[in-house]
Amino acid sequence: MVLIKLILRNIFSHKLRSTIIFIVISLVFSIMFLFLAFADGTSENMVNSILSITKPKCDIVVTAKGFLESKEANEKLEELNKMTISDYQSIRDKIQQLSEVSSVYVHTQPVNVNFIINEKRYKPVNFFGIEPDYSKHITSNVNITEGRFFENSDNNVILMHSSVGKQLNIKIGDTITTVGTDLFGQSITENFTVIGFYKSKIDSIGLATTALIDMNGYLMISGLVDGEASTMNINLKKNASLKESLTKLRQMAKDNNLNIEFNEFNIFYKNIEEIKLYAAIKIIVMFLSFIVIFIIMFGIMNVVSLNLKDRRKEIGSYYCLGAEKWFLNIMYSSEILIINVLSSIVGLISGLILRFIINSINITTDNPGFQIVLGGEKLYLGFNIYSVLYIFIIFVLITIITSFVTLGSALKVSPSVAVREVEE
Amino acid sequence: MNSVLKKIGILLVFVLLTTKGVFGEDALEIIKKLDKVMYPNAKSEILLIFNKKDGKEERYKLISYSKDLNQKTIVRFAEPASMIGNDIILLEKNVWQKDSNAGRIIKIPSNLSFGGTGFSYGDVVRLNLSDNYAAEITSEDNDKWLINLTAKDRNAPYFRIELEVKKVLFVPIKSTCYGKNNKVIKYIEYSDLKSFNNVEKPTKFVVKSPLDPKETSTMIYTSEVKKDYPDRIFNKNNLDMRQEENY
Repeated sequence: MVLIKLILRNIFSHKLRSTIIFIVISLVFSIMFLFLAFADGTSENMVNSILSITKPKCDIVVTAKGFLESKEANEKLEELNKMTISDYQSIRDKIQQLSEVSSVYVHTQPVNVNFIINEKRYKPVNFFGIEPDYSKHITSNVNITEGRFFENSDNNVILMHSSVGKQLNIKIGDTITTVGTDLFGQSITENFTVIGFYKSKIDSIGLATTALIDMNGYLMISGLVDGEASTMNINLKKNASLKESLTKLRQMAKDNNLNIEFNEFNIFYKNIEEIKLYAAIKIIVMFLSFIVIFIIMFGIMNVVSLNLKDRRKEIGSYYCLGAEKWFLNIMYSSEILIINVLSSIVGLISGLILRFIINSINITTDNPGFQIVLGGEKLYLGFNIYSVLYIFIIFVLITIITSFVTLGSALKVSPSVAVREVEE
Repeated sequence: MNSVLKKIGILLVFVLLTTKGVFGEDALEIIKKLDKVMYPNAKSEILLIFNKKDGKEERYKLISYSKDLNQKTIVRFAEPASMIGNDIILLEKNVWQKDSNAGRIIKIPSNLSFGGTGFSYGDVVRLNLSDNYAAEITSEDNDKWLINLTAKDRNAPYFRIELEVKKVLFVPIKSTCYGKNNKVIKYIEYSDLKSFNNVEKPTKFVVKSPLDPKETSTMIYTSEVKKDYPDRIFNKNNLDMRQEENY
C-alpha cells in the first residue's frame, strides 16, 4: 500500500516529466497502431474485394480425393483440373442433410481466356461460372452498377467489371467472343451476351480481369461436363463446431463411398498469393515499427535517466529513511511501467478513435497503383488483436529495458546526498 | 433361297455401313500413314509468316528436330534475333519453352497462339494426329477421304477436326478445327507439293480463323533432311546444350 502511495506521489510530484513521457508514448503507440491497422486493413480489403469472388471465405472446402495433396505437391495444373467432383448435385444434397450445414455451393475454377469485342482481341480474363446456389453468396459481395444479375434461364451471358465496360465502351447486349483454351488445354471459342456490369462492395482494379458467366456458358468454356465441379464450399451454422462437422462429413463420404475430401478453408487456401503478399507487407510494417520504437526507446531512456539524476536528493532521502535498493528498484520500475501502460492505453484509445474517424471519412481512390497498395478502392484501417498485443509487448519490453539500463546507475546514490545543500 | 441371300446381302451391307470399327480402323491407318509422311524423323527448316490485319508482316525462321512421329520435337528460332534462344521442346504431349530473358523453361499450353500468329505451339511442334484423335471416314471420292477426327481426351488441342486427305500420297489437303460447341476455330490449307527425301508432301500450310478473318498465317517448309536423333537429346536441358548439332 505504501509502495503504491509512493509511486503515485512520485508520478504527480514530477508532473511535467511524467506528462512528456506520457504524451510521447501515447503518440508513438497510436501511430504504431495506425500503421499496423493500415497493414491489417489492406489484407481485409483484399479478402473483401478480389478474394470474395475468386476465393470466397467459407468454413469447409470439398474437392476430389487427393486434390489437396496433389496441389501441395505442385502437380501440373492440367492434371489438377482433371481431379473433379462428379455428380455434385447429389453430393450437395447429401451434405445439406447434415444439421450443422448452413449452405453448400459450387465454386468454379477460373477459365483464363482472351476475349474479342468489336473486332479487337484483348488480354486474358478469368471467367468464373456462377452456379444458382452461389448467386446468393456473390450478391452479398457485389453491386450491379448497370443491367441485371443472373437468372436461372440464362444461357451464355456475362457480367463484366464496370471499369472494363467503361474503358472498352462495352454496352449491355454486346456480344463478347472468348478465345483460348479450357481447363484441360483444349481450344474453345464461345459467344457471350453482356447483361450487365458489377463492382465489388469493396472494389479493386484487380477485379477488372474477373468476369462472371452463367453455369451453362461456363460448361462450354471450361471443358467440364454437367454435374462436374472442381470445388464446393460449405458454410456451417453459427454454433456448429468445425471439428465435429468435419468428422461427420468425412463419415458421410465414407458411408456413401464418395470419392471426395473435406478440408478446412484455412488449410486449403493457406498459400493464397495475395494474402501472402499483404502478410509480407505487414511483416515489413511491423519490422519498421519495431525499429522506430527502438529509436524512440533511447529518447525515453534519456528522459527517464535525466529525471532520475535530478531526483538524486529524493533517492538519497529514501536511503536515509532505510529503504533498500530492491524496494527503490520496484518503486521506480513500477512508476515507469504505470506511465507506459497508461499512455499505451490512451494511445490505443486515441488510435481507435482516429481509425474510426478515418474509416468514416470513406477515402476512396480510382488510381490503380493506390488500389494495389490499399488492397482495394477504399482506405480501410483494420483491427487485429494480435497487432495490438504486438505493440503492447514491445512497450512492456521497452519499460523493462529502460528500468534495467537507467535504474542500475541512478540508484547508486549515497544517503549523504539527501543532506547536501549543493549538488555536485 | 434368293430371299435368304438377299437378306444376308442386306445384313452384310448394313454391318459394313454401321460398324464403326471397320471405318475406324481404315481411318486410323490413313492417319497413321499421314503422320508418317508428314512427320518423319528429320531436321526441317521452316518459315513462318504472319500477316496481321494492319497490313504488317512478321516472319520467323525455325529449325525443327523431330523423332517418333513428333512425340519428341525440338524447335529452335533462327530469326528474328529477338527470338533466338526462346526454343521449344515437345515431350510427352507437353510443350515447354525456354524463356531466355528469365533463364527459365516454362510449360505452355499446346494450343497457345505462337507469337500472336494463327498457329498454336501445338501446330508448330506438330502434335501428331493418330495419338490424339479417334478417326472415322465420313466420305470419300476418287481423290480424297474426308476424315472426322474426334479428340481422345480433353487434352487434345481441338475437340474435333475435319480433315481432307489426298489418296495415294496420304497427305492433308485441308483441315477444319472445331471447338466443343462445333464452332470453327481455324482452317488450315495444305499446298505446294514438293518432294523431300523422295516423299511428296505439302510444304505450305495457310491458317485462317473466322475469329480473325483479316489475318493469315503461313508455314513453309524450306528443307527437310531425314535424320535419326538419339533419344537423349530430347530433354529440357538440351535446350541449352544443343546436342543435336553433334549429329
